[in-house]
Amino acid sequence: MAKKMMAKVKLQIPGGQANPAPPVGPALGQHGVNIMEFCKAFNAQTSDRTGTIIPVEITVYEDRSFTFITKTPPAAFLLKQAAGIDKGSGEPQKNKVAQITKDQVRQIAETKMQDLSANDVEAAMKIIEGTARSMGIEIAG
Amino acid sequence: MNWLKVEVLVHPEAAEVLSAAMLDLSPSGIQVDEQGRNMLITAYIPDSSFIDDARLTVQDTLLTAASQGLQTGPGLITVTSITDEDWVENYKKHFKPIRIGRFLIKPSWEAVETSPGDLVIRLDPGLAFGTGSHPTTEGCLIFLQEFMTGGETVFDLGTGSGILSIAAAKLGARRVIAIDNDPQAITVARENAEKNGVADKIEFSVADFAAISTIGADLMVANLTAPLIIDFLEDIPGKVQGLKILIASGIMVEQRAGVIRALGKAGFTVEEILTKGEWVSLVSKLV
Repeated sequence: MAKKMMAKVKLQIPGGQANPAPPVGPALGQHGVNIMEFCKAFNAQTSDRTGTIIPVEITVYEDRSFTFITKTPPAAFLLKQAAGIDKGSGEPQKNKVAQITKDQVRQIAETKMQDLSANDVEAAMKIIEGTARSMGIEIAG
Repeated sequence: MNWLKVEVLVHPEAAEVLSAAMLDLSPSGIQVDEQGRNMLITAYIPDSSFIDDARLTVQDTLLTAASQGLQTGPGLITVTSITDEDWVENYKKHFKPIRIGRFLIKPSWEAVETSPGDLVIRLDPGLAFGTGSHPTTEGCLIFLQEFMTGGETVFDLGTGSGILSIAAAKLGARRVIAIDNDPQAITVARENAEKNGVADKIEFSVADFAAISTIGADLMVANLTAPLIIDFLEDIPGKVQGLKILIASGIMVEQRAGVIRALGKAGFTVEEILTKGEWVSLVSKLV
């Protein structure tokens, strides 16, 4: 059909648990999107990842119909997963909570490259390394 | 409960680490927008929470990120107080029934008064295009009313929400064949047809026009885009056997001439053109 995009809304919300409270309500309500319809569809599609933070990109068309795609998990989530920890360090400068390898950094950088709007893998790796250290995760080597 | 909307403008390099920190503040989620070269990250926290703690968390996170060689950009923090609203109810208030000729398109939550002769289409805006509020859909609905007399077989190419197929069924089509290459649209369209009590008249399927060998139809409606319509036109007379009337829409004003040329080449004569805003719908007959 004759779709013409009106807006793009990017959220990071827990899988299977979308509801009309903020941020979903105000973010979608502002563009006239059927909030309940989005919550229903998003929760159905992500029911196997309940509670995991999922980045989702919602495209709103001129007639207020919409589509959405879920993206790869946030870098911080992938880093915690790679490091085998639940939480980053409260004092990342002093207290290092885990260590990951350069290969793991590269892998995450490649996964997240598009979302990071980095020009190449090296630039993406630099961001992932900085993000890791900011969470108290050291890079081996 | 009221909310504090905390927005932080940062360089994209620091967006990942800041997002993680803001998700800790607001476990129900955050919004991430591109704003020029920066990212605007928004979290909503209950207004009972101590805003200075949130500010400190953000500032600490950005300082740490900077010390690890990440660009943090402006690092501007804005806090606005917003009152709790029923966002769903507010949304519903904005979405009103739409009248297009005899058609009255209404969301499920609205009660409407109908006059004799009204054709009610029950449709909630959702995951497929075609809510009735777009000029291209409106153009097709006007032409369907004008050119259908009842008893036709109608082919709806790119059915989206199914609105045009439902409309054709309500106008007395004997049979409607509806396709879309998006499986989600077909699921939504089927549900909508059921809600409107015309599911038995419409055959929905997930398909590409290119993959269809031949079908029989008297009238075809294609609310697509100009390039797609031009692309399909050459094959339409051969594939759609018995076709008399073609309603084409989704065409922008500046693309009109190109579509009309392609229609002529494929053996169609244009009967009527309807322009609404920047959008054009047209009816043509196969000669």
